Amino acid sequence: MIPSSGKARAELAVLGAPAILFTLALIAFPFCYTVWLGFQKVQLGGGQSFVGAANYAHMLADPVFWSGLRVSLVLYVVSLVMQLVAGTYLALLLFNAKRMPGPLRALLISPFMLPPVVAGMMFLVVLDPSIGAANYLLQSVGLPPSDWLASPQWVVPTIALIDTWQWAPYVALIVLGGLQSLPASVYEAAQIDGASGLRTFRRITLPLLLPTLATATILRSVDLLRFFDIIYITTQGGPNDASNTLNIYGFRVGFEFFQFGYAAALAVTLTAIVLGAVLLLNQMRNAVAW
Amino acid sequence: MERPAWLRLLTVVQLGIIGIVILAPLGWMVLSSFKSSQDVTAYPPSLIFAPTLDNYVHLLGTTPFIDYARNSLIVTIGSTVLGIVLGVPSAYVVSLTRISWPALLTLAARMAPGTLFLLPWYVMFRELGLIGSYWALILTHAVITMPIVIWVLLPSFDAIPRSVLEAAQVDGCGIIRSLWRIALPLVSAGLVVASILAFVFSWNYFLFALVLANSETKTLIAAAFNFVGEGSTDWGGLMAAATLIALPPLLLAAAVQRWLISGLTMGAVKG
Amino acid sequence: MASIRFQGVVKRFGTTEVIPPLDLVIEDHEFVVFVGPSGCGKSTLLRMIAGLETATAGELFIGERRVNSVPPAQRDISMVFQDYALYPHMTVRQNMAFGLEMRNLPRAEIAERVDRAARMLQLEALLDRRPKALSGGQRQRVAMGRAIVREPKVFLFDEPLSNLDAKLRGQVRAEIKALSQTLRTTMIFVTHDQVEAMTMADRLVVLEAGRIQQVGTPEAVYEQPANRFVAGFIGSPSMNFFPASLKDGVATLADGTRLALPGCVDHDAVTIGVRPETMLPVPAGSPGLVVGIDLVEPLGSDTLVHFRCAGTGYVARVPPETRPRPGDTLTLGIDPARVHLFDPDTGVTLRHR
Repeated sequence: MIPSSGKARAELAVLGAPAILFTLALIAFPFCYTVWLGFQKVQLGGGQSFVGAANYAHMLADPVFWSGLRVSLVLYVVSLVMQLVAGTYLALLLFNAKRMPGPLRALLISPFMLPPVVAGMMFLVVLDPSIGAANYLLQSVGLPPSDWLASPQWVVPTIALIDTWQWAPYVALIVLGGLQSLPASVYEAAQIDGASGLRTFRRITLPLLLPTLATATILRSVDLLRFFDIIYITTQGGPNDASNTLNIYGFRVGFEFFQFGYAAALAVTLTAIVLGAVLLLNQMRNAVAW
Repeated sequence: MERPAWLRLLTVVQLGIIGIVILAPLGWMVLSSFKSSQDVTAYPPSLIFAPTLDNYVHLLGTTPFIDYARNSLIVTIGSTVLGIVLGVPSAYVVSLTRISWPALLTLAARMAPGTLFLLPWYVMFRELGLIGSYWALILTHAVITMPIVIWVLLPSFDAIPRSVLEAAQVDGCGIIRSLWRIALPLVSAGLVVASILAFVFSWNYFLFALVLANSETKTLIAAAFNFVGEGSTDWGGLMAAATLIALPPLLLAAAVQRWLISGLTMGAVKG
Repeated sequence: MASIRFQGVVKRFGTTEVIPPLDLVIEDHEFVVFVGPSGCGKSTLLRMIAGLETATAGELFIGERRVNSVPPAQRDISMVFQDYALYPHMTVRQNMAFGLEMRNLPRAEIAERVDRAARMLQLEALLDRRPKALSGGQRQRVAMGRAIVREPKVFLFDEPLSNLDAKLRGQVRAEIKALSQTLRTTMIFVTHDQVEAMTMADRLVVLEAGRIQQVGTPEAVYEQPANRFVAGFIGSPSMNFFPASLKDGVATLADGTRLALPGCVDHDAVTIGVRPETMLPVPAGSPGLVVGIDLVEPLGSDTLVHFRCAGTGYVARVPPETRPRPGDTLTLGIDPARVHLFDPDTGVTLRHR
């Protein structure tokens, strides 16, 4: 409905202009500035000089970059798998239960509506190696206690666990929507065709759920690849850089070490990674669509 | 064939267990906020203890908690209002014209780490002398709220039958007036949801205030870090702070839970 | 090939009884149609035969076997659903093979059965396509193919033609009927369309509010309806019902018209049923109903005339040569031999033909 009158066009321009100006000023322009900044070396005193791709070269030679990339990817994959499995399991339960009473609804959305920072604070106490309830529970069933967030070995799975606690219900709701959109008559046909519960799940439910799982994957990937809040509040990237993701590293390079040029290069690289992942995942989603 | 009763019971039991898993850390947080410093560091941790309001009294009385809360409110309400002022008209324009390149741009922006924008923003606001001002925070948080407003309201605007808007046109209503008199009243429910979600996500946002605020304008979320820093000894205070910070978003989320859940399950809520 | 027997079958959803105790026998090899308005319970009965719903009380037999608690897969039945229920992510071939795979049939036999059914339904060219690449009519045939390969004892059709456009519907109707003659398997077909029911059935089961109103051949149900509901449901345009009183072999209609019905018992109040095609124009002055024409619908082969009698609207089907015009007055003769009588309260037929 693009109106043809000049007056209407003018009105549309007036309505849309503020948001467009805002977007240009606070999003588009800064975006370009950062890209440009990636090619600069910025002195603390205030000068800067064009150094071409030196920042990127430095990045590729920086062992902390590579370990950061590894941590980011491992954390991403571990969290994603945990959330998809837990979320699908929860979705199946909710689907079978058919009804969702008010208290359950409120409980389901609480984890991901919480500030991630608060989740971090919460789990700091629960997972504290000496006074935390988690170790107490482990010991009371005979399992050895863990250092959780303080252990370079276990910090990444622990953080993945915290994020899963927060976001598995979100994934579950999306997958539940997918389950509810599957035509019921297809299941009845499967019943008549003689498919048992497990076979129905493997041959019918799961393949038909793939597009929904792909959507949930894309939605979570955008956040998981840029993991920040929980790490910053709990471990700040430690212990010994074991939880130092690219996003945390980039932030610290910029605002603790004040190397703006290098931080810009890191930020641009991370953006490219996320964009690439989303495009790839989108292709995969189209491949499984029915 | 209907599902046998024992299978239904099993489902309910499993849901119950999951409910406990979700509730447990939250409950522990609230519980711990009422523990004295001995009880909170006691091991093995206890469910039964003498509750005390000391942590809250200390938090609200001696720390700048109230100031931070006030800052958070100013920034969150301000950015929500700004998000609505910017987002509502542009959502309407997109709905009418289907030209959506600004929306695509903000979508791409969503994929960038916060640092990508913080670096230039820091420089920009430093030049303008706005570091530490509320304006810096409100403007940057609006980058979070405006897309939420657009993406909640766009389907609502799309749901208005074109014929209603055309009838308004024939009646002599200009586009701006049709937004104000016709479209907006029709999407009032969506507006409420958009405002609440914008508020929650702005309140929860950590990164920008960390860098762009000074000690006077720091928001609660960013200041939470302070509580952790010194909080390694004051667990009770940490939990009290966490409980208070979590309250507004959780209460507001409860207000829109039905909409949120139906939106997520119907695939309309893309985040 | 098997017979089906409902014995005192009751179905309740919660506290609502949708099917009061019901008895029905369907013979082997029969093509039976369950017909009735929406909500009459026809789909529920079908689904009970399939095993997708369980009877709350009563016994259900397929062949000699009591199947109340037997799961659908073990009842040796096949079903064609209203929305076809094809597996969206599988090809046509995989859709048809799935049921056989679930029964662990050898792969060679599965391939053979699928190919045979595909040939029967002209699906060979479509075997590697997915449902979303098929038209409605094609999907319907795939659904039938999936049912055929299982070589079941009973075929169940749940309003399979509702989602097709009118032209296709007639075509597929004929195909299904032809199929039933080739396969000779017991077939149960559910529809709300009485034309479909009449053209396809060996026997009809007319249902209303969970109760069987009549079971019989199409001709029997049409010419000798058991009650007013069946008389009004079967036949298009539907039968005209005139309230009247009957004394000494003469019926008096609401507008005073008198009709000679020799040999009938006296009734203070009775409903007279007259089918539209039995009301023929007679010269003015002859005995019959004198009517003013409201509306004329020429169909080509006949003409439908809408008129009023004592305030109620009715329809007559007259030869096209009559050339009636709105506003004309027409005298319609009623053959007493073709009149039905119904009890005005219970609807039960008192006498017909």
